[in-house]
Amino acid sequence: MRAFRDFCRRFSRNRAALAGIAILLLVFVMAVSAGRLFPDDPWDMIALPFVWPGQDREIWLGSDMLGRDLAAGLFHGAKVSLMIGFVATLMAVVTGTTIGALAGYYRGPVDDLLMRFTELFQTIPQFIFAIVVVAILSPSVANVTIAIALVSWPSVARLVRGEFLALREREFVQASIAIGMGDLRIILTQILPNALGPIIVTGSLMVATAILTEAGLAFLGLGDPNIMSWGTIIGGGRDALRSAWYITAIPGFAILLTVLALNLVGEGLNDALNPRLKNR
Amino acid sequence: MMSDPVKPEPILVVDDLVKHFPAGEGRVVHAVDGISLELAAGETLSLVGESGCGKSTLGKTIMRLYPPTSGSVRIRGQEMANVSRRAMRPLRRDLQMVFQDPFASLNPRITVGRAIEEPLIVHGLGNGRERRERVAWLLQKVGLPADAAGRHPHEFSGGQRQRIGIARALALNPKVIICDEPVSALDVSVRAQVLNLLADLKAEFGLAYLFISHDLSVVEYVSDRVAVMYLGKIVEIATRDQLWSRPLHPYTRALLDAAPIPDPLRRRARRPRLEGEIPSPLDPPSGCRFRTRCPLAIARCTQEMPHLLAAESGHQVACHRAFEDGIALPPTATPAAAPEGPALRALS
Repeated sequence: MRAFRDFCRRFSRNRAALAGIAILLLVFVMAVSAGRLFPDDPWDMIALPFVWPGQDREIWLGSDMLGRDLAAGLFHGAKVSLMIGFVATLMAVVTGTTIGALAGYYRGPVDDLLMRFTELFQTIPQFIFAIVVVAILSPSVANVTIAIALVSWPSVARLVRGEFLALREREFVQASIAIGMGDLRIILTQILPNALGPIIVTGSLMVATAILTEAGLAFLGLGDPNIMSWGTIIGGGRDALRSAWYITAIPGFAILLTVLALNLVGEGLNDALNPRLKNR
Repeated sequence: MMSDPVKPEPILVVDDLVKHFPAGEGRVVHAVDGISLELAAGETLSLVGESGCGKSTLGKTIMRLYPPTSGSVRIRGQEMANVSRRAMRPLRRDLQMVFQDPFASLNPRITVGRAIEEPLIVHGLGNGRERRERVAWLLQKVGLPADAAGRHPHEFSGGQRQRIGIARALALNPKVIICDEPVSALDVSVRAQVLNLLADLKAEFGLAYLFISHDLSVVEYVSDRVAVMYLGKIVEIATRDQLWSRPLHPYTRALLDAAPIPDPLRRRARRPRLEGEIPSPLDPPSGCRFRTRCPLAIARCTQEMPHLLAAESGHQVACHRAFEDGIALPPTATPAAAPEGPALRALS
């Protein structure tokens, strides 16, 4: 627990990371309160189209070209972005860690097999691959999440493999073998806790990438047609970009802020978890 | 090696153990090349040699941290070199290891108490309370305060950490502990403390040590017997007193010569120093492996590999020339040789 307190102290010294946390909290509050503040479906056409922000007190962020409330879309979209971002990342991290840990721990033929398999996924450009997967599986929230996880896990696997390759040579791992500890126990209780730092950092940055990928898919019309996401709003506003740029700018700014916040937090975690910089 | 029928079965028997590492392109590192040795209960056998001679690899192969290429290791008569990992586990209770680097051999994320408790958990010994009691007892045995159990390794000094490593090795009540350079990473000031602790524990628990070291002064202090290794092979094995008073292998003599004697009055007779580097274990020399650096090498040494042969009781050497007449090997240290150099002048 001392180590955890040390970590908190180092993390809280980083102003940018704290700002990132604050922005993320804000987005989280938006997501949680969306259903309460905007109980109606964000797809409902409740106003005149092309109402600019501030024109109407009822719809303070304006309406899009079909008269849908942009504020409602923004809040409900936060829910979608965060959920897909975190769930897809969780799936990618679990898969990647499992495969990377096995490859790095057992080395040899197991490593070769698992890494060739991983490279199979890495040879295809991530975003194109995600498009193909969603196109095949049909666009739904679950499938978009799966597609994003599917294109994200290889980098985690490579990272974890590298950590395991290095850590398994350390004497404390040999000491664990010497006392007769089994492989699974060594992987889970000895090596994994020491590899957690880089995994957490990568994971936090991966959430940002996942949110961007989701927005990109939705922008291309490959999002779940029943779900209002930030990418959907941008995609819809694209046609009116010259006359009503606010439709794309508002959700675009939300994406920018969220991704920036995640990167700041990731950097902060990296500094706080990286032992080499401990005495900076 | 003929075992005397009266003698009890040695507790650890290593028989023709080989460990080769593949080095790519079909090449092979001959790290350990046919080593046989026996360790009696309560005995300390030291393994000495230059870095790269394979002594640590030998220790780790005996410990099955590396799978052996061939050969046999028996602990209390039970084969452990080629059994499954499951069958290996109970045998590990008799054979434990203390590692070289006390900073690397403890998991930084695990408390000291947990690290010492782990062997007991893995082997399913005792319940939580009994294990904690044993941890406290072990901490006291190695001279650490009881509250050390709740702290992390980074809160301890090198010497204290090595005590933790020793407590972990002791947890299962082993018969044999392989000590892989246990003090070479420590400050000179705490070396003696750790060596004395090892000696006390040996006396109290009847432990046998396979003590791996390159430091002859340490080896002279701790050993009952000493095996000298060169390039994956044992070149000489003898009791400590035999080896120091009458080293037979030219390599042993070179090693003993190279060790500094902290006494200007005991100057050595000048003998040719050992030259060159230890050859690559990728491509060991033919015949005697030491011949490329040996001052006594003859044609026979390039063709014929010398075997360990008994020179006197308990003293074996692998050298063609050790048994020749006329090459009587003198004792290494010549007490009070001719006064020479500034050291003595300064004394007078």
